[in-house]
Amino acid sequence: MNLAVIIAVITSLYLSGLFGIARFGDKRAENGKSVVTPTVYVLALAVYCTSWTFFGSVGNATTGGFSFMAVYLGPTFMLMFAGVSLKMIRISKANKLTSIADFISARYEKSQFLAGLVTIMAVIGIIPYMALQLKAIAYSLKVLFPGEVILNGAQFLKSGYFSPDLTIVIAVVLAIFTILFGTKHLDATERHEGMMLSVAFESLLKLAVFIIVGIYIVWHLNDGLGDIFQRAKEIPEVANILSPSSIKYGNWIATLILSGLAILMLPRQFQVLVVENVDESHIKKATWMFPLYLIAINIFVMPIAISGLLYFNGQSFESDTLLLNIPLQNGNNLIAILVFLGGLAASTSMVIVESIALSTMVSNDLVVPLLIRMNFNITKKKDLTSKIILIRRISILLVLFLGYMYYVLVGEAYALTSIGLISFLAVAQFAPSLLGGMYWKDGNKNGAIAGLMAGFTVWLYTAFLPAFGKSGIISDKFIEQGIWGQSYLSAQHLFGVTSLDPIPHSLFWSMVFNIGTYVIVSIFTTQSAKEAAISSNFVDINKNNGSNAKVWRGTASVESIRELLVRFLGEKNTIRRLERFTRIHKLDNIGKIEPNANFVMFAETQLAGAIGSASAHVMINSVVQEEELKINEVLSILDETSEIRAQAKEIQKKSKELEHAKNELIIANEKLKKLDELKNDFMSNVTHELRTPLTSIRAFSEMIHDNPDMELEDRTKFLGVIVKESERLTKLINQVLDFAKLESGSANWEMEDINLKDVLKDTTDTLTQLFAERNQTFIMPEHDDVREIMVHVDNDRIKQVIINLLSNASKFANQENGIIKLDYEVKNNEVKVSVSDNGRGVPEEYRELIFERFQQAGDSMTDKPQGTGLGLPISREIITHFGGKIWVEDSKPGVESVFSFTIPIITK
Amino acid sequence: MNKLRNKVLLKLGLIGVLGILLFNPPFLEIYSGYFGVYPILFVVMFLLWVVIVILGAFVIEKKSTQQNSLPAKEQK
Repeated sequence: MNLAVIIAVITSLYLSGLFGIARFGDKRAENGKSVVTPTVYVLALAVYCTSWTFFGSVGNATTGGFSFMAVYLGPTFMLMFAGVSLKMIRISKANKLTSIADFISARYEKSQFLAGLVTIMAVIGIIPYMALQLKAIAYSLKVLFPGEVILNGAQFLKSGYFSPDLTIVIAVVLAIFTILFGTKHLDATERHEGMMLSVAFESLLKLAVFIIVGIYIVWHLNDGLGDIFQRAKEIPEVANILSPSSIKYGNWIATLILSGLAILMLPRQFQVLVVENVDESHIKKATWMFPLYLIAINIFVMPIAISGLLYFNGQSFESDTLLLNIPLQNGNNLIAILVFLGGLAASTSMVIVESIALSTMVSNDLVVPLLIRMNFNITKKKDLTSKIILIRRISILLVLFLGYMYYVLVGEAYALTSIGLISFLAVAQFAPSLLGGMYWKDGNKNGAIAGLMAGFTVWLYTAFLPAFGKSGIISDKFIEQGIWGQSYLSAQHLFGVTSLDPIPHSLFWSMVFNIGTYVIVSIFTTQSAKEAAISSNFVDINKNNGSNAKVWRGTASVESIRELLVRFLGEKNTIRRLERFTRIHKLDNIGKIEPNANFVMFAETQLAGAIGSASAHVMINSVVQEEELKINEVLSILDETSEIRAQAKEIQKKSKELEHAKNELIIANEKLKKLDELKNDFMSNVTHELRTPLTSIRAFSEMIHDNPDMELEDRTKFLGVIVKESERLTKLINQVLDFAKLESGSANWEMEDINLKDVLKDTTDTLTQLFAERNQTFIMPEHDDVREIMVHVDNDRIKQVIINLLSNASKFANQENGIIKLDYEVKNNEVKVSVSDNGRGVPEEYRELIFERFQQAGDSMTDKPQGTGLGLPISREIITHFGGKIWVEDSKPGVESVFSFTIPIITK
Repeated sequence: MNKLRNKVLLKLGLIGVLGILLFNPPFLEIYSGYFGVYPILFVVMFLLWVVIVILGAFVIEKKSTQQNSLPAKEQK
């Protein structure tokens, strides 16, 4: 089959496929299922990579080496400043802004003049870029069909009659596609999900094709990267472009700045990044996924460029079509067709998105305001939606036609990269007003207008017109000699600056004039009250959580505003939006809407989505009577708003604190309940413990009382029991009081540094008699280490603990052959004292329990209580106070029990 | 939340500044010569580019910052 037929069929199929994808996306969106996922968003952002990338990068690399990379590094770095793009998105959402012109005009008092100025600048600035895409398609066709006649600029001018070439046919097809999918809705903020999906597909396609071609050239036509670089190294001219010296730093820095700004300022990038953004969090993915895309699409640029240089080896060739020429020269039509398709995808995606963005700007910020100014009865027409859509469609055709004309007239004179940079320079002029407006409250309308006009004039003179001069359409004398023969006005050496190349030269002077004028005029002129309010809303958008303060006062009628909305948005759309308003403001129905500042500003925002913020402001003002606010009134409203916000924040903070306090109270309450239970247990235990000796005392006292004739021996015995039980009672009461003191923290502690060895000796000495009486053996091993063991304790209290443990050991040791052992060990800055006996031991389940009040090991029903049940809890309180711990060692029940405690020692 | 978001944005910005520094003279002039047959400029530029992007991805996608750093709320 003929190559031409194949190309025609493939192009038709491809464009039909795009229609299908866009249709699918729109359908899904209509059913409430957004197709704009983070990946689709990132791929759509790759509309940045146009045919300039696809064909131009390789062309640029053949002469400028790695210079081409600056165009992709700029956006990488700019996206790292994610706060900027995030703020742009927030401002646009809050104000329903639909384009970059709308954004700038909305910031500066919704100035119609400014919106129109930005639109004109954008259209003029982008026309070369449109032309670049058409040129790329035309050149692809020229390479594919060298014998066929494709009308170019010069031929067109000479022929004097219109003879449609394939380029214009493609331009028309693209216009139809854009019209069908880009002007479906009137409200531009409703986004174009179908278009986003198809653009994402195109990005994927151009990347895939570029990588396939890269692999084909590097590994099929050559023996890999090593082979290409090895051969390049041997040819000095080729090797030179691989060294840093091939990079012109002036151009490099200028391109980095321009491309960084372009990713935010190009109308199509603004459209995708801001207008089509459905979720702020997508910016997160864009920050790193988009640069990854850029890396992937650029990785083969240099190897392909070198391969081309090596292949043509000094012969002349068209560098911008190298990607297509290499496979064709090697007879690989399949790869050539793929390249054509990739290039087509790169061009069409740019043309589609750019046309939509520009047509929205032309209709909203140029034509509609003009119609309003010309009293075109626009406010009296019933339904204007179809008229506005028509305006947008005509705008698309106009923009594409202008692009085509630029290609025909100037396209031949410049390489793709140079044409693209002229457009980048144009949109960079928006940066001072746009970024200044986002971060500088004092930047004002006069400053923005003056800055933009100054910057744009310098751009026209130093970048745009020289292109016409070089193509021979106008005289090129002004480029070198300046106008009126004034050399200091030379277009590319302004004021005698000769050290800069044309692009950095134009960037430098346009920015000097633009920024300088913007700042100076803003400082020396004052803002209106309304502008001050808007600037505050823009700059403080993050503080205000993405909403605006409602600064408006006047009289309005809900009905007239509603009628106005119906004219521009249609009946159904208007009702849907009014219902949303009632939901936001918790009103019962539309009839309850009050004509207050909230409603007027809501209506203006809704209208802004359809006709731009400047026109919306004019239209709303035509149906309301706004009272002019003085600056102090505006500031007072803003203060009030920020105060309300601050109060809301404070309330939120307080409610969080209350919630926290409530939780703490719940926990405290639970603790109190537990303490109450413990107290009850304690009381019940104390009562029980007191009752036992009291019962004995009473019983024996009654027996003595009731039997006066009782034998002396029995009487003595009973009195002995009474004395013993009284002692036990006294001991118990003393321990209860002691424990209460310890637990409440009111015990007196006489802390001092003492030698533990002395304490142990003194204590055991006092108990030797007791052990002897009970026939028990007491062991305290001798230690070789004669050094002191200094501890910081209360002498009486530590003795109390040791006596308690030794008494317990004596009490529970084997009745017949009792052995009690006391030992100590110094380890890790603490001393461990252990008391053991050969008694029945402590079962595992009691080892922790016995440190609780009135708890003793053994069966409470059958075992006789052996103490008060407070000795160990008191010991634990004391040891804990000394910074140590006390526990029962793991030992075999029935064999022995070992109690240990540790106390920190004083290290010198 | 705002503090955490600002911290993430600041870190990203610093990575951006680092990138700008590394991809401009005088650093750019250092990347001359060859690694075997591979031009250092080619290797270093793509390697640095990847590193910058990975650093950015690490900062923004770190689990601890995911919830509260950059907004994740649907704006529609």
